Amino acid sequence: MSPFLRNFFSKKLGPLLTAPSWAMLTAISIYPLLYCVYLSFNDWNLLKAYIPPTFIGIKNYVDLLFDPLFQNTVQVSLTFSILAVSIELGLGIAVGMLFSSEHVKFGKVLRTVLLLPMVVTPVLIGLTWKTMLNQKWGVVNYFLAQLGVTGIEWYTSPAQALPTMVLIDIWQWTPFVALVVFATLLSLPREPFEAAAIDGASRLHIFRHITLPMLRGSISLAVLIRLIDTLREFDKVYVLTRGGPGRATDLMSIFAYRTAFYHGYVSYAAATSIVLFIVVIGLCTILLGRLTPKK
Amino acid sequence: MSRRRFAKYVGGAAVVAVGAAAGYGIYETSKSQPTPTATLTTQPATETTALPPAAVSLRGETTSDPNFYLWDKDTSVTPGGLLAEYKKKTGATVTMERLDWGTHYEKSRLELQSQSPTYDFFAYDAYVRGSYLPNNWFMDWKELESKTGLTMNFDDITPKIVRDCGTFEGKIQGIPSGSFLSPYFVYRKSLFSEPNLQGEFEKKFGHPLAPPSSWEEVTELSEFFTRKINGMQWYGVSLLMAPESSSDEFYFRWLNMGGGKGGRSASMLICDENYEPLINNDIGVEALTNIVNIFKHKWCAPGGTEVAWVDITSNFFAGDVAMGYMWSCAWPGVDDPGVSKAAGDVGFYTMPLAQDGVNAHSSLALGINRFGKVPEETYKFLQWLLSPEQDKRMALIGNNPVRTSTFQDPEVQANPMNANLWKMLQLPSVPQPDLPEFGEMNYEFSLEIQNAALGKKTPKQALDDTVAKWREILKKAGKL
Amino acid sequence: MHDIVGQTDTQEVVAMGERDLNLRRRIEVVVVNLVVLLVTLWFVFPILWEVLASIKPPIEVTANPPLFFFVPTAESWYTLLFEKGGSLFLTNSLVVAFGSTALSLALGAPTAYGLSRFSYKGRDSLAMDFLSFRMFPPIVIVIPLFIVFQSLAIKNTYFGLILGHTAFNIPFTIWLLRGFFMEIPIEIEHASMVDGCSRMGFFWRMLLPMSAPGLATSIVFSFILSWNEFMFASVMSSQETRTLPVFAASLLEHYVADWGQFAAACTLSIIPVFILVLFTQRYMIKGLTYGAIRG
Repeated sequence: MSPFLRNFFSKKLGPLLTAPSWAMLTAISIYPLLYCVYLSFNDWNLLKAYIPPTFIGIKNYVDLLFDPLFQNTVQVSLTFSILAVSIELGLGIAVGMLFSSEHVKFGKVLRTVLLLPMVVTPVLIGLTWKTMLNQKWGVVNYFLAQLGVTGIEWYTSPAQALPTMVLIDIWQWTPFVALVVFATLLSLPREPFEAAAIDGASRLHIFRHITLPMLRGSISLAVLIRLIDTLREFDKVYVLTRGGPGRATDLMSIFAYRTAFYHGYVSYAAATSIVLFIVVIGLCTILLGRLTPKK
Repeated sequence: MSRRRFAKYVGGAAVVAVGAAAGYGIYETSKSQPTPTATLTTQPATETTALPPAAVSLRGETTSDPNFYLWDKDTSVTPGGLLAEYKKKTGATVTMERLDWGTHYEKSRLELQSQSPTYDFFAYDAYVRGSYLPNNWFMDWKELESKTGLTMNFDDITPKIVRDCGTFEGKIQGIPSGSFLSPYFVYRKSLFSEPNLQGEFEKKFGHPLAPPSSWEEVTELSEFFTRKINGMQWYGVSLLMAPESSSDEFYFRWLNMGGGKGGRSASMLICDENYEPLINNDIGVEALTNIVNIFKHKWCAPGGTEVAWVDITSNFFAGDVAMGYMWSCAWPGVDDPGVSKAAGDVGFYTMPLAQDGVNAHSSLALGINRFGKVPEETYKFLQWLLSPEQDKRMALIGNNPVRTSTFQDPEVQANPMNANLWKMLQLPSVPQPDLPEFGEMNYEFSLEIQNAALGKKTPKQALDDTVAKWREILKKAGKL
Repeated sequence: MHDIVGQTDTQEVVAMGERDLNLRRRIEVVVVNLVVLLVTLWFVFPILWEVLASIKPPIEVTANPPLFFFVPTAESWYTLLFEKGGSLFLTNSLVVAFGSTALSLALGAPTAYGLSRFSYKGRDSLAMDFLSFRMFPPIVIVIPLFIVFQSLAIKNTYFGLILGHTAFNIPFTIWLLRGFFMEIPIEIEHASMVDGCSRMGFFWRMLLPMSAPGLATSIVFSFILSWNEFMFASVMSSQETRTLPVFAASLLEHYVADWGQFAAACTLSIIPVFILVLFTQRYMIKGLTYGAIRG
């Protein structure tokens, strides 16, 4: 190999190593994205496949802006995200601190169990909760009835459906925040805590003024990640209510999916997907900005 | 963004675009050549005893339906099922893939839309035939009949089925292997023949306890049976309300039972010939009020507005619902003690229709993929499957028959379910528009039904809003 | 005398104080462990419920009130594995998961190396780009890829599924491995280069073995991500290549659902994941703190 080439390779080895992945991701992610953008500027219906796509400019996006159903979708998605993430934050910190207590026995087993909700297939989680929340033979209502609480309709009532989804999401992802907190606590230095204990500070004081600030970095990371993921939520909500009852749980991805595959308006759904994509990428940029190690 | 990175993006996109174009080009050219798969020896005219080609393999994409399970159900009539028998007879392997209704609906249209040769035949729900038939994805059965010389004997198949399920612009694109009818009532015989209950009912409502013959009676029975009997909580009926289960379809069937007491005329057209919606006439309003009434008073099994097809059968099989109301194809397992607590206690019933009442007919029709590799072999298989012998054998193990000759067979008639079905099939059915937009229209309709049930709107308002939405959709489709 | 009395008093006070402290600590231990137990129970209950349902007599799964004490039966399992072909779908899921894990590791590890140990302009923003691929909503990808895969005749093949899943897995693998690689001190690399080792040599012979925990973590996460994937698999696969989640969801049929078999399918789906998590629990938690991005 000529010295020029050898030099070239050694200089460019870094970027070259990234080339195969880059190529693959371009093919499997960027190309579909571009196709999606192309679709969103056209008008094409899957059910009337004999009519080829016709160019209509930004009409899809304009329609989207004024579509009350889409506005409902945005509202539902935001409510879901904010509720779920805020509750997961609070509960996660509590559970994380609980599990890092020195009194806990069988910590390893318990932490394994804690990991389970996050690694079970989301579709199956949705369906399992469907059986548990069934009004007639579901086990949750049975327990509640023993405690004297009746009449909760869970996902079958428009008012209660979204809170139910939030509940299931909390069940699934609180362990994530909790374990992030747990792992961070493990790595914290002991001196500040010992010093505060010697100084006679109360536990609450220690928590507020030492623990929380030290957790702030990893917690804000976890919150951002959860925010992004709740916006992309699809599997478990779709399989439970398909966006119903009415449109009470009509998340953005469910709206796009139904518009494309049931009603056939693929181009309208493509526009919705692009909007969702832009929002997610926007949040992602913020996230990545925080993740960059400050030199 | 740095120039270098921008260049990388553009370069990458260009590479991909070229690659995709090349791939598509390859695909196009390969399509025009005969794809080398089955060694096909075309057999002229006479069939059944002819030796078939060695390695024909057929693949069908269907939805999970009890009807299709009968194809490979192990019974004494057809050990190993019909598919095994066909393989033994002709050497051809037939595989059936089953998905739940929603995923099947999406996947089948994706496959057909992309002209994929993966599947040789599809089952499509005749209710949404407007999503399939206008696209001309399926072959004409008559054309294949003349090509292969194997007669389907279309005259023997109930004309209503042929017309409603598969005929579009004069071509027959699909034939079902089971004729599903609705409304089909099942009820718990022991409850209806219990003397104490009979006395109480008669005292309260003024006429004997019997399966219902009008909407009002369905309401009365639902109210009556939602109570504790012998310590167990019973429910009157299960109401289908979930949009993804086409609750609108359920409701249409309710309407189609015709008027209440006094047998009013039920001209329950959905739209007239000019696509003007008719759904909000006063019979429609009355029918919806009826359902909403039952729902509001909770004279039905719990589940609110999310009760789907699967919950209706689950509820009845769980043994604490007095009446069940579903498609005729849903009930084969109801007398099986392994899965149904109501086994042995089930009565089948068809509500008498009003004067010129109609019923609803739909099915899972089988269409032969135009882009499949061996349409003629597929036709041969389906022709064998739907022939009188096989139709009868399936009827005897619980299927709803398709052929008139099968229905008339005394053995088949002996099953009360089939006898009732035959009576219902003689009546006219609701004409349904063959529109691709039908699915969307019905989705909006079922959302309005939910609104009415939840008390957000009055039934009349819900129906009027439905009509408004329908006009919007039809206008967008250029039909109005 | 006075002194002795004083000493005894103080000792008594101290002893009493210590006993108080012991009591309080013991109460604390009990309370903490109780709460931890309850919390863990809440997180694991749905999974436990499905496992129980899979060994109930099928007709009793929907019993009202729910059945807690029953004679276990393997009927649902038998039907699932031998009559419905559950073992085939299990195999498919295993093949696709292993395949995509291996492929994403093979492509991702060099990429992570290139993104972490070299310095060149735009390195960090390139890393961000890779991460943003994780955020694509799956619906953007499905239709175009369906058409492309179809024309390349890889639609109903293991290869097609593996390719698709790898596209979802690679960004995460890269991110995770990059974090692990960056932890290894740069001096080791300099030392090895001084000793005459090439950069790629260092990669193979030293970096990979040293970051075994990181590799383990990324293997586990990739496997789980691929194992749980639903939308892509349901559209791209036919009978022979159908994966477990798609199959499990299809058990809840249109008209008649076998809840017992569904429970067995759920349980089957979680067994490999559970085993993995059990053995790599420590690494997984560590991986989470690297800003675990899940999809």
